[in-house]
Amino acid sequence: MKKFAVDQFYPCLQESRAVASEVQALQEIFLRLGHPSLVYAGEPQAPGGPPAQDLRSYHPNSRDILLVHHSTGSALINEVFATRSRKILVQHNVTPPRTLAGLDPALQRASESARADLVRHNAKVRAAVAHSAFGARELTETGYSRIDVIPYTLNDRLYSGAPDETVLKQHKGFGWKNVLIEGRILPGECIEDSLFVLDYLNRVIDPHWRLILVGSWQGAEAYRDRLQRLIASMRLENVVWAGPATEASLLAYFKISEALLCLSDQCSGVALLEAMRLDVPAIAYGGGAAPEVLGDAGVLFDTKDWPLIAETVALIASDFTVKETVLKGQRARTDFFSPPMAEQRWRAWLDRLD
Amino acid sequence: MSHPSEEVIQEARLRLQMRGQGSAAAERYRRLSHEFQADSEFDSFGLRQCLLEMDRLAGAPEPGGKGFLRRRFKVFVTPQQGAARASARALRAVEAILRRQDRRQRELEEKQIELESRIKKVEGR
Repeated sequence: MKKFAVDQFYPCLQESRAVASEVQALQEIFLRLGHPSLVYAGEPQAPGGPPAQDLRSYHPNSRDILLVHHSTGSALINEVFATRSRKILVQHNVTPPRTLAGLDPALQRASESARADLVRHNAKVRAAVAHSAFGARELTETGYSRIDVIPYTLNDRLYSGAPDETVLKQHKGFGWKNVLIEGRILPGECIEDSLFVLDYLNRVIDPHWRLILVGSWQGAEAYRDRLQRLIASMRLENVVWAGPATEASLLAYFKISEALLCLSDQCSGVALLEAMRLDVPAIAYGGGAAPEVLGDAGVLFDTKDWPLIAETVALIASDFTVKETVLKGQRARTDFFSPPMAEQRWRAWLDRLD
Repeated sequence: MSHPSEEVIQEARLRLQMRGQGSAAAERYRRLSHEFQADSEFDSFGLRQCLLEMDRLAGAPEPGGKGFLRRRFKVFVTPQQGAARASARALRAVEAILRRQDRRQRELEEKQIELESRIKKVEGR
């Protein structure tokens, strides 16, 4: 008997590298499991991302499954939910609208409409998938009852590529010790806390510490401006605004970094996963999904004690034994997120659903 | 149950204590963090984002960008850009006044809290 299709929809694959990357990884899993699997997108496909079909060409039967990846509002969402297939909502954390106050109104509107969509289409969803218990809470709050927690699926192939040589040449060497922050530059990410960590590193430990910020600030210019004023008031010089990065650039930034720092209050955990996969120490505050993603691995703080976090970063970078201890824990944790484990989880989930 | 990284953090804590600068630094960052949050509240009305948008529309340079060259060579400015710049200047003046008043208001509130706390201490004796 022909297996049912497991297709996926995401409004804008260009908007989120993390979502586009997971969509691709999942498509490969579903195809390996023998399910026909296509990706439908509201807007043109992301460069290097999965090939996307026009939603108008989607003609499913009632047994087919459509994974609807949800993080921003979409004009096409009504059409998506009007199709015959079984709809599964895959929740990628929606940035709370209150944290976007004063930024580009379009950002706030997208967040509000995403939240409204969650409520409005609740009854049309067969089941929902969250990547963490933290993400699942939002679904529970919006009335979802059948929620499965399946960790974010890394697109493992991306991490074995070659790092961007230009980035390596530009930033490596000259005695720099880099700390990396990865993700959209938004107030909920609490970048200011990382600036305090950098200030302590520079003033007290070594002026060669540098903070590299990888991620877009589009729509959040006022927040970036506020950060720049803070940087000026602390006379910090070693902050690199790298902007959005390609996969190869991201690999290069990880390669030249002593640690990934995540002091976000709403951490999705994707950057931590990537750090563990790329063997870079992951240091996080326990906000959002960080504790669930790290498990027993990485370094986890329950308070934002900036000088202590800075001392920990410096300790890991300077003491080989300490660094190896941290990395050993992370390597063991990475197995939990490996492609075979991800495939096993999704296979079991599909069996249960059927 | 504590996280396994507690051991690493403990070692870092010892280093922090040995340097003896932790408390002063933490106090400095607490103050800066407080000011940053106050600025965030002020910016939550959208004036700063609006100004930055206007600057962008008017083709104004980013802070630390190539503004000097542009000004020096008097690059051609369209009437729309000129209007946007004039409006941005007016808004920036309004913002500066509001920000000063906001800061003054905050200072007054902090003083008031401090006074109330002193009064409670005196009354408690």
